[in-house]
Amino acid sequence: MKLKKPLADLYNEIRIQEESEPLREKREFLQNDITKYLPEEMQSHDIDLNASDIRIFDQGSYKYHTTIKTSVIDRDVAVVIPLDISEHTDPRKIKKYLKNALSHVSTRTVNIKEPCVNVAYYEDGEEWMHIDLPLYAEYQGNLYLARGREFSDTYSWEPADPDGLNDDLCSQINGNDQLRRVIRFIKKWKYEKYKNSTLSHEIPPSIGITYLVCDHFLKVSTDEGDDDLTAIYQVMSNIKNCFTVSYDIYGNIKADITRCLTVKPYSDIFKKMKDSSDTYCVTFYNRLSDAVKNLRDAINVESEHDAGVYVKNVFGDDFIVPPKNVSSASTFSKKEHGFG
Amino acid sequence: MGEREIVLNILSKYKEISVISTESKKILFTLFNRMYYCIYPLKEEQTGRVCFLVKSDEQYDYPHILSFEDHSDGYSYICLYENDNMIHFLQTYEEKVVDAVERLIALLSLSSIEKELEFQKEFLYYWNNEATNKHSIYLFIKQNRVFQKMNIYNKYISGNLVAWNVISDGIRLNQTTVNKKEWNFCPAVDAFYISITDNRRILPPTHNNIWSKDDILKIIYGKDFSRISHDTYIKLKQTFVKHMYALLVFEMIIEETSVNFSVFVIFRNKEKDTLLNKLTNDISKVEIYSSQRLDYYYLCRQIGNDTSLLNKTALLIGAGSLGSYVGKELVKAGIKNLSVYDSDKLSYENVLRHDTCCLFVGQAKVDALKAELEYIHPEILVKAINENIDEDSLLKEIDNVDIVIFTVGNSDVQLKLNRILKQTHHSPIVIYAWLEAGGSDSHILVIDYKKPGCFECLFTNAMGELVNNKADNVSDERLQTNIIRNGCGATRVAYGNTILLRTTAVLLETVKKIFDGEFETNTLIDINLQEVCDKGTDFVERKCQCCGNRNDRHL
Ligand SMILES: [Zn+2]
Ligand SMILES: [Zn+2]
Repeated sequence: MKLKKPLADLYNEIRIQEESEPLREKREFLQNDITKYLPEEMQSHDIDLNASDIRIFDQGSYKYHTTIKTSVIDRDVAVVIPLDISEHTDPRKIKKYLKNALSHVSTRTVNIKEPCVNVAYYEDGEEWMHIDLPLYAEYQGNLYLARGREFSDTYSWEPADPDGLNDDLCSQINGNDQLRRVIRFIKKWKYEKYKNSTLSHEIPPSIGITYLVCDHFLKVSTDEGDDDLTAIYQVMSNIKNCFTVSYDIYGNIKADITRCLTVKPYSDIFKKMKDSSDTYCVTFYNRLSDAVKNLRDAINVESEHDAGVYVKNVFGDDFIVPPKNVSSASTFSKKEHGFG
Repeated sequence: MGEREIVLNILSKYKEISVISTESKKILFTLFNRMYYCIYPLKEEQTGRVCFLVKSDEQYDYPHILSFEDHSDGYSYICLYENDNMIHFLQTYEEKVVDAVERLIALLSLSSIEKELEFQKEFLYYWNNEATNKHSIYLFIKQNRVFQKMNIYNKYISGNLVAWNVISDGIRLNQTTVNKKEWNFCPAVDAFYISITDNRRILPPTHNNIWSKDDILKIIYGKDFSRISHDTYIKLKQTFVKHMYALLVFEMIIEETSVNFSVFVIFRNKEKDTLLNKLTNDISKVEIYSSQRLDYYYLCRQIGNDTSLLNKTALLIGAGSLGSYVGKELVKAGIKNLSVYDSDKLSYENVLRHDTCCLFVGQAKVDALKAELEYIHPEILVKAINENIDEDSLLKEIDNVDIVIFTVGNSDVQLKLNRILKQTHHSPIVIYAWLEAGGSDSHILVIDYKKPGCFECLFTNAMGELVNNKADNVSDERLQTNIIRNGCGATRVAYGNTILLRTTAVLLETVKKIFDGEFETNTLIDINLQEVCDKGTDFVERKCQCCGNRNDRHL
């Protein structure tokens, strides 16, 4: 089987298994502060909230164990409070209260973002970690995500089902190690290809990638164990085939992909990306096509070394290309060793 | 074409390389903005290899460039053939040159992650180069790889500190090698073992990258990801330190091998605090110490011993020639706790086939063997009893051992103890080993008393009658010619020592198989000059008076 060890090494290099201790500590502080200060803050705006009614839980890659190493640690923690949204119709205000509840500590910087409250940590002027806190209101047995920037005109309590989302992805990923690896590999590909992207919505959202991989994954294994190279190739190639590609009269390519959430609000995960610019989806498609081509070439060439060179084009410098053998194979002897 | 022409010709094919000059036996060239020269062998030196040296540069830390080993005029040797898995004799001259150049270019083109791997592979080499300790440090670490406080014992010779023994709780050292009077407990330094579970970004110190407290923080409190387990982290938070000094013994696994390295940490003050707080807030200085891991478990792993033998205990009955060979190989194979019974003394006549030596002549064989074995490694503990084992001792011993091995040349002893073992119902597996006279044939009998068959079966015929040992092959006449009498009935059979080596080798394999659970039945193994023959259960006699079915006996 081709590139088994180099891919295994890459996997060990990119994966984050557990939260780091500084992250754990910051997260625990944050959770404590939410339960301690949010009820006070809400009270000062005449909203009753019991600390024991606040529900805080993991969302995203730390929940599904698909986290990869990135330059800035990024963690999503959901905060759910009971709230009558027919009375408190403006989620921006509630997010503001959450921000206030967390702003008494100087080591963190709290900002309100469109889908969450963002808590960032800086060292020597550089952000090294942020924890995103999507805020949900629980009302009449349903959850609603607080959307809207602090001073934005558009805002809403959007129906949401973070527990359902967690359950859905966990049930697909847990117990399926190759799928989990393939998700991490493809996230690594995305990370490499979008390293220099800074515009919002330019980058395909991770949840979209995760869903697409789950949709198109097929287990590939041989007598020698799981064949991750082929599995990655097949998934990426299948995802590529999901795009609707067309050309306008000038011959310019147009690409479109849609993947709707399987839970509330059942919206298209890629909508924001597509709404922001026509080119984003095309870039996504082109980069994906490039990866598929490299992976296909890697599968088709004979030598491990040459295959490795192609795969390195997909995953970047963290992938170690196996050395090429220069001398005739017969001069190598694995048995040769000193008898110390 | 001469050697130089061949080399030049090959170098010229690489666009990265520009040759500058060709002195007598050196070719000077540049590659990736550095100066190199190449030394090439003569064609007739078939085992020769092509070498490269790079112009030394203090600021240049690169794996496999042996910067301290400055060769002539400030060039450093580049190590290209670390694994020794290449037979240079088989390469053509051209192959040699191309291979070396390709290796050089590959080495110089490493990505940062590949460089890290290469640095890690030679971690201890770099570590020891930067070490500042003058005294030796020996580490005896328990095998479970969990955080632990360790104890330091120091040894002074004429007022100078010469060594530290740093020992995990639970590891006992013998007195033969570690004399308690020479080693004193050292209470002023706390020592801790910290297991690293994720090696990423841990690099050895080099000239331009000396270790500081930040490197320690990266291990214990890594922001990007954890390099120690959460359990270890909690232990760091719970453990208190009240001294100025601490020795941190780290272990990480690199390419499936344990790499242990020690850091001596000096704190700013003696104030008592948790180890975590001390390490994060209070370090004033970090010193690189070289240390040598010496524990028995580690050394067994290094040579590939079967780990199923580790922590097993054996009772060896008989410390004669065979017993001495077997004892020595057992402790080298992983069984470090041994009880040995024998009432004999070592004599000059026996010294060349006993595995001890002349020094011990006149002393009890068990004491000689104890000393000899305990000198092999300080964790080897031999209980030497200068007596023939009796029923009481045997019954006591079998509760504390995992295997019993008979290496006595006396059938009466074996027949008697065989009956006792059969009757106890809680005997561990027993091996009977004996040599026939003549130096060719020997036998090993594996008995699990829960299964049919015992030593007495060998001395029983199909009728249930006692007969002489049926396994033996050598005729009585041949036996007579080999007997040496030295007065009053004492006899010694001249059988040389190759039979000892053969028998010991098979016995050792047998012990491993027993602990690997490979024996399903009791088994007789015949060993002779030509072969090792597994006779299986053929020896079992249904009418054996010891193990046989009582009803069968009267049929
Ligand atoms: Zn080297
Ligand atoms: Zn029997």
